[in-house]
Amino acid sequence: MVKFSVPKLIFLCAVAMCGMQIAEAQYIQNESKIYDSLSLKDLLNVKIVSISKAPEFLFDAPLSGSVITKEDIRRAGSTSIMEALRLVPGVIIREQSNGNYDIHIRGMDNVPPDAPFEITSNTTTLVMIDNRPTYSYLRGGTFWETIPVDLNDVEKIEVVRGPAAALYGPNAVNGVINIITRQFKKAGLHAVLNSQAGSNQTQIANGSLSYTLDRVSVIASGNYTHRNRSQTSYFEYVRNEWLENPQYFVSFDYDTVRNIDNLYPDRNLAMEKYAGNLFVTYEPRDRMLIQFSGGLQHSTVQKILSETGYTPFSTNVSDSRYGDVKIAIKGLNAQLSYSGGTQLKNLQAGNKYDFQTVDANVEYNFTKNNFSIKPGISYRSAIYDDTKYSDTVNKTGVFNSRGEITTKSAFVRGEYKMLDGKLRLVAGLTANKFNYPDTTYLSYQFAATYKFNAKHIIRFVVSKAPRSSNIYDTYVDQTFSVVPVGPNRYARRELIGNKNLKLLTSSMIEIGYRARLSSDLNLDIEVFRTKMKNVTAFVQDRIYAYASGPDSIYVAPVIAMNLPLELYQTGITLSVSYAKKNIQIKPFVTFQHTKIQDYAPYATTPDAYPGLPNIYSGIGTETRLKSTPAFYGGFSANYMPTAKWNINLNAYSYSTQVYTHVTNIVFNDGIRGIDHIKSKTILNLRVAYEPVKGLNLFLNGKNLLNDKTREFFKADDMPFSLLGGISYEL
Amino acid sequence: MILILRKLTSALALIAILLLCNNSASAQESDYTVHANIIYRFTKYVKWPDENKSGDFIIGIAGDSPVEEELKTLISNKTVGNRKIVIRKVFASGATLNCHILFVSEDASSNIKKWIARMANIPVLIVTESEGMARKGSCINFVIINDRLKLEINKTNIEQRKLGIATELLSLGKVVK
Repeated sequence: MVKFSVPKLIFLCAVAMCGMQIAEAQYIQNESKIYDSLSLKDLLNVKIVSISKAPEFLFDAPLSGSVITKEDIRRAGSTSIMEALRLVPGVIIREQSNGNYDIHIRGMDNVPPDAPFEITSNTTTLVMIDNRPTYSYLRGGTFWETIPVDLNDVEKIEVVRGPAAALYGPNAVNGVINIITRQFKKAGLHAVLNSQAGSNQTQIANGSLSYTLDRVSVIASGNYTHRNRSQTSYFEYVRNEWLENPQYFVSFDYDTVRNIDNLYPDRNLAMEKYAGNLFVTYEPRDRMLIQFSGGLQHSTVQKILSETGYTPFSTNVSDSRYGDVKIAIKGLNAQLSYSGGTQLKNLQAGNKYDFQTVDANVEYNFTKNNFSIKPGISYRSAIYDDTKYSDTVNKTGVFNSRGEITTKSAFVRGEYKMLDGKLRLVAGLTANKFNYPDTTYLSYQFAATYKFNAKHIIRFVVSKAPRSSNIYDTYVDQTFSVVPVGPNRYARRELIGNKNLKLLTSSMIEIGYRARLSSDLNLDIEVFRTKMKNVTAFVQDRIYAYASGPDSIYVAPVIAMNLPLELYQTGITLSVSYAKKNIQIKPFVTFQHTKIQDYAPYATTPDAYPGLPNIYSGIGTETRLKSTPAFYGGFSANYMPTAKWNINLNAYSYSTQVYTHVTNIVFNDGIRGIDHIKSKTILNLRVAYEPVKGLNLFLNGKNLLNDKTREFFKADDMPFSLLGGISYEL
Repeated sequence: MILILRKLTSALALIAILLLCNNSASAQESDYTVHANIIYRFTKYVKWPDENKSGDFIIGIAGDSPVEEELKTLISNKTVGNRKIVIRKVFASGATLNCHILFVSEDASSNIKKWIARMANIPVLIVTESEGMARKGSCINFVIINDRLKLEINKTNIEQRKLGIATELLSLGKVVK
């Protein structure tokens, strides 16, 4: 039975809403005030970007999506880009340690169940900065702490829910998060500085300095974050308990690991990161724009992503850099970006690798009356190499190889308006040619919107999107244990990549409705059904033996394979946005049912142990996927009693979940490897005072209800925290 | 099924509370804030004939558009000279149109010919937001280029309506014929 926090949420929301006295205040036109200070020329430079990868207004957008602006984020007191996503409908966010989050669009996470974290983490959302993918090709997904920009750089964040590869490229399997960076509109010098500190040694500082002269704008920005964990203990799988100041760990194989200080040099640390960015925009003439951005980042975090074999947390280190050039000339848009660096997935020997990715994209937009068509091509290459750092003879590194994943794509996107513009048809079709598997995948997106009038619009979307293969599944060649099983007899387990995996693919049908119920009240409803197939996992095949001198070696090959399981998700998301001069409220909820078919909790092929259960033993079964919450949502309520004060109450809530880790199979005792995550409501309050224009002093209370329950498998407790800070905008 | 209904009930209750607590109205986040600001700025760069310089300054809105609410919010503390600004919804079949600026929304753009015909030779600045309108009789047309609002200005249409346009405004837009 699912236990909800909804009543609590309703109560809190009601108190927040009804308790507020509506003062007719100087809030009037707070948005307009910003524009009042701009010249007409500056107004014509205000960037208007919205979902569907084309400038348009959110109400008309053909896809399910949301946009949060820097103002929404600032008022809510979000301390990072990751936390800010809790303001967006349809996103499931769990904090693992202070500032480190597990983020999924609509869930479908912990799939396949009973697998290592690398497989069950989110690999199906494409995160981009100004349309530049930040996707990690090591095992798929996003290392959020390595994103070089911070909130001072953000203009807005767009979130597209559902498969969107035809518009955004491969890996937009379940959605897209596009971080749009800020451009300063005023001519001359402009500065932004934010700083806050508080519980758990949290220290956050970021700032930007910009100069705009005529057609050139230059912005230099930097950010620093330090956060400690809320606890110093670690959970150990074998003893199934949290250990305070452990002197050793016991691994899956019952080996004792004593070099803990090498693996966890700072047990307090949750996150330390810093980065610098440079943005240059040049508009040599009308309808021509050249933009460059580049930067460097360093991060060290303790989070749950990389499997260590004894405790969920690992220390992850990243040093990377990027460069991005965009040119727009009339209908032609071209983008070339590079990122590269060195990362450690944990501090065990041989877990280091270098990577470099290149993305190139060219598209041209033809428009004629009610018809527009945009053909284009793109190329992506990701090269990962750990041969410099690993023992390639004994194969003890991450994947012991130099691997490359390439994707060549050709796409066409078209739009046609008919019936006086009331009916709008949008179609995207992309052919993706991958190097592995050596085949071509089609992704598509068809959307139709019908606008009854300026107040009511319905939309219908059908889409399908693949995830590209990753380096690990394709290239891994690793010996991960050698165990003596008798005199001159050894058992060896080997991880082996697979270049012929079918690509994980998601397809969706969705119906949506948006309404402007009154000039201040908007409603958005989306009903979706999603199917996902071709999930991959590492599966043990038949054991074979061979002689090596006097020794007999039994090898258990563990190979990347597609599982027969399929996922089906049906759900509804409702969001409302309401504003009354000095008050703004945005509640949102998602209810969904996710089921898994044909799944068996066995990671063996039929040949491995004939007659025993294997990956096909679950064919014909169907169960609810309990690791994805059936309910999640929240609200943000902002109140500005006077021009100088701003109060924001916001909440994020989810229902119970059950996460099953690979240790559920390893120990198979029905206890270890299973974590029941309780339902939780996280209530935050930010109170800000602006004594002089541009200067804000604020207090930021997080998790006011002090619900300490952990949000992820054997992760840290997440208690109340308090931060105080200052922000200044010149 | 019962579980789903309970979830749905909870959600509806949440929304109902939000709606019941406040049921009156005001502005809402909208990208049309920029449109509204720019339309207001036109009053500073366009010169109307002397006979149109008395009484309220009227901005007419043709078709449904969020710009109407944005303009209403924006002009609450603004004037044109000493003249009060009035935002008025106008209809193609309505009575005599008496406005200084007419914004024809995308919603109403399919009827642009009718609007132009009704406004022939009247000193009204016709502002539109749809592809190609500057060549179909509009004075100033909003287009989005490189994610930014740009202006297409038809100087001939403006002058035919006995309006004057400042060179500063001309220099910020693309002049079309």
